[in-house]
Amino acid sequence: MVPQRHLRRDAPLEVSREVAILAALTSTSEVSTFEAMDNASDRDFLQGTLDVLVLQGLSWGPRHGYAVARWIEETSAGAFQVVDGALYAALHRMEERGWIDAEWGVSDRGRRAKFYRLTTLGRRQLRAQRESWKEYVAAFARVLNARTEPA
Amino acid sequence: MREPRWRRYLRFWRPSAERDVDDELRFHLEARIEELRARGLRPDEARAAAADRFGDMNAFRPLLVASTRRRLHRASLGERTRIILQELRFSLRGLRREPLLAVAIVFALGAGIGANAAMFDIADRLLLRPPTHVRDAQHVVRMYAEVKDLVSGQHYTGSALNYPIFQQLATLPAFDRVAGYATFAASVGTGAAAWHAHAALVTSSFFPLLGTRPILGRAFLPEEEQPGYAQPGVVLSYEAWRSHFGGDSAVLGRHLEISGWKYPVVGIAPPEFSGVELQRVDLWLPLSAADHGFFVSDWAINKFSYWLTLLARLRPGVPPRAAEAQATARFRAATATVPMHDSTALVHLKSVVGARNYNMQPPPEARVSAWLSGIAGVVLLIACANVATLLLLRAMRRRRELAIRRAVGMSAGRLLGHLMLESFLLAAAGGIAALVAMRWVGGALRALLLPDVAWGATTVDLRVLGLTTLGVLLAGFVTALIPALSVGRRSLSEELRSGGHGVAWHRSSVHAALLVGQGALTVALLVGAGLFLRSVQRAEGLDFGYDRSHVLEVQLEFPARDAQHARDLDAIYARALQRVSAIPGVTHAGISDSDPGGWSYGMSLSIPGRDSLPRTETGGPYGSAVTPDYFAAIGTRILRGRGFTAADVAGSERVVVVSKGMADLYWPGADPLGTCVKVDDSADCTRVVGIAQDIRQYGITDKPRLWLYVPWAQATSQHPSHTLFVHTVGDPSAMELTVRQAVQSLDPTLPFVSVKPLESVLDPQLRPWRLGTTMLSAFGLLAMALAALGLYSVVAYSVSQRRREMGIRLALGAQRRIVARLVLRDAVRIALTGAVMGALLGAGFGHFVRDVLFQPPALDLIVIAVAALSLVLASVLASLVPAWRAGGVDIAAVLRAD
Repeated sequence: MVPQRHLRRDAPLEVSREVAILAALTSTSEVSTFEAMDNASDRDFLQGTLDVLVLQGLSWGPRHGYAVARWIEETSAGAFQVVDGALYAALHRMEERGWIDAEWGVSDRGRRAKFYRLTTLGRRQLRAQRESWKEYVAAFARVLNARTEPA
Repeated sequence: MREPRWRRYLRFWRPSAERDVDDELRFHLEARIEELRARGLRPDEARAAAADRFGDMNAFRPLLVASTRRRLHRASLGERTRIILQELRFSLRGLRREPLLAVAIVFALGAGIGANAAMFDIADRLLLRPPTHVRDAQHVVRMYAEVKDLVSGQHYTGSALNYPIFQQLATLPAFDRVAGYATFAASVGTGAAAWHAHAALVTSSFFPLLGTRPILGRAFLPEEEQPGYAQPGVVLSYEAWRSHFGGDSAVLGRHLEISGWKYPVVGIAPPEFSGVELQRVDLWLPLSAADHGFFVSDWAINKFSYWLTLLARLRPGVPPRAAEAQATARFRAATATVPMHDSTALVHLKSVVGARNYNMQPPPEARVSAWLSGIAGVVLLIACANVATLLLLRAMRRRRELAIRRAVGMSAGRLLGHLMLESFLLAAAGGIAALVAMRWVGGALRALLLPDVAWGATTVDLRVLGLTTLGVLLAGFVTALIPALSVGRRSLSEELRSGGHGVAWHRSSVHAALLVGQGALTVALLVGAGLFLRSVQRAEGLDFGYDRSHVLEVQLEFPARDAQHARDLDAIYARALQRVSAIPGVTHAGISDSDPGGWSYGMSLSIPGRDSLPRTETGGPYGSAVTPDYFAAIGTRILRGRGFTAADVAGSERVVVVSKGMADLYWPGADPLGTCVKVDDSADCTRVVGIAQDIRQYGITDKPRLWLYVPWAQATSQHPSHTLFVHTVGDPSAMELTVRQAVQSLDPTLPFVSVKPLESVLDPQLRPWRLGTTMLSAFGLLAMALAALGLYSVVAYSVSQRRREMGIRLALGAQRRIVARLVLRDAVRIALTGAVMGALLGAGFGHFVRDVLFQPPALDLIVIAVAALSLVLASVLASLVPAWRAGGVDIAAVLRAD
């Protein structure tokens, strides 16, 4: 049984703040579809961004896609306007990779919905990505906050 | 929160990626719209905004569907494997609990499937398989000429033709190519190292026609077919090359002495190649070697002798009928100049696939094995019925368990699947047992039943494997069906309420039907075995006119070459006769120029004062020249008058001994002794001095022939062949080596000395009946064992179900004997019904196999009675133990148990 009614709403502020910073720095308030991206490394980068957001969104327990979307919107205070289609693509992609599992269930409003849940593999993935993002953001911050002039 | 179970099942059976994705997205969009409306948007605005937020639906949806489809596919595979593995474990565990049952079932199915595999292997070789290494064998035909004997008016069909006919037919447009071959026995090497070989003379078109290339060296050159060719070569079979020359390629170019002539080895045939013959061939010689007298010396032009079998490869697109018409017309033209030719002769073309005798008929072995293959199918059915019985019993013992599994939600489909899986598991184990058995007994069976046939090296080939798989599938399906049907029929509540007691399963009609059917088929098989056995007995009891069990036949494998050579042979045989007669244990030895199973030489005979003599269907009269001790040596009795003596030499009064049949036909009611006849157109009188018993020159299938004997020394022409007959005191095969060494010691340059019991010459004739007897007996006994096993298990089960009833009967004072009889009665009733039905079935079966039996009586009641009684006896024995045990029920325990 999925403890839907006991979902914790308190988001881990630390990470979302960092991500918000990142988003601001890359001046992307909306992560567009991957198809639109013509540069492969850019696309990978953005996919990775979205993946870590979704994984984080699932880290408290099983949720359906809409709940994940809402969580990202709310916790980023509207900074990330993820295209819903891209979110579902990310969910399906990660399900195929075995990072998350899906099961049909009934939503808190009594409607049939597909619930996603982190697998062990997904949890490990989230941990690894979170670390590298943290390092990345910290490095970024160090650079931007640098007080010394380049030699 | 989870969706209802039924939906999941629905998705399990009919997963749809599209529906899945659409369901998910619909939920999302509806939730989004709700959210937006809550923020105050109008419905249409909200819908538009939600769609906008989603992005390009036409781009995302296919992406999601494809991903979902991939995942569903993977999941369903995994799920199914998981279920099957789980069931498999479950079945194995269940079977391990009843190891005896599992062993019995695997044995039954192994025997059933094995019988089929073994029979298929034999029937396949005789009936179905094209000769090895022959390209497009379906287009290669053998030619048979059907001619009418102008004297008797009878039609004869035979494959023996000759070279002039070959030359005429070779140019027909219907044929791509025509070839000829003739097989004969040859001797390779000299002295003690000499060996006996099956040889064949072939036209140079033989190998090209078959599309066979030697693996080493070459086949024959066109000029090697020409008479007078100086140095014909020899092509060795792969097997002969391996066994006699160690597979050494240096053998090419070496000269081999074959029946007294030297031939260089020019090629090695591919493994298992035996031309289009079933029998192995050790070496091939080109037709020019026929100059050396293997058949007729003037073979290239002789139009009167028939010895060459012709093959043709049909030109693509030519219908066989058109080819036959062309060949018939050309054959008639080619034989038009031959005296006594038949202008209405027909040429038949028959495929080389499937064994045929020289007379175009399939050999009796082939017909018998076709029958046996069908019977092997019956054995498999019996085995299946038996296994179904056992599984049904098992299902009944487990019916509470199965009912509970049903009650807690196992679907009928899954239960059926479970039963099926169990059956297939057992059938597969049976199949493996069958293949293992095949590997062990297959080779022995082949050698025993068809020793001359060139079998391949492998005993279990792909076709047998395929058939075995088919057998496994059939057995698995049939054996699962009956238990599944009968378990499925009973209602759950009834099952659970009855507590496994109430229903009278021992009177189950399914069981009775299965057992009666098994019994009936068993009796029918036993009847078949009995009929074949009696055929063998009758055939062996037939008086052939010679002693089959104490005679050795000795031949030197020289080809007949010329008159001088024949006189040399006379001298060699005379010395051999002397030498062999001196061996202790040899009572008599004699020489004849004719041998049982060999050629019959016609003799012209006339009686002064008579214009013509009556004829019989076997033709003749035939005759042979024999030495004085010949009659005693071969065991032909002189009924009246005398045989020959050492005084009957050239120059003394010419005498003749006639066969009983001849005496009765030519001199009905009169005594021929002392009368004058003229033999071989001689002007002088030859006096009849004795009457010998009739002989069957060609064994079982032959009728007594008109035969006359002249003294060896008085023969007017050269002897066409030589055979030394040796009468031994004991078993002749024990003397084989002694006799061979004695003859060989005469001269180290002699060719292979063939010494074999007379029995072995005629033994192949008995083979179809032996084949039938052996296989049917095996099948019949197997079936009986299975039927007994089935009955035993049913009776034992019924006893275990009726323990309470028995206990009460015993408690009320019934004697153990009476209780046992009660149980036995059911078993005997089933056995009797089966026996009666089987007797009827057996009588019908006997009618159908009449044409493959030897002189069968119209209805062999003894055989039928014995077969039926055997089943009843076996059934009683099988049910005796459980019946007795029924009387020994512990009353107190039974009553307490309730």
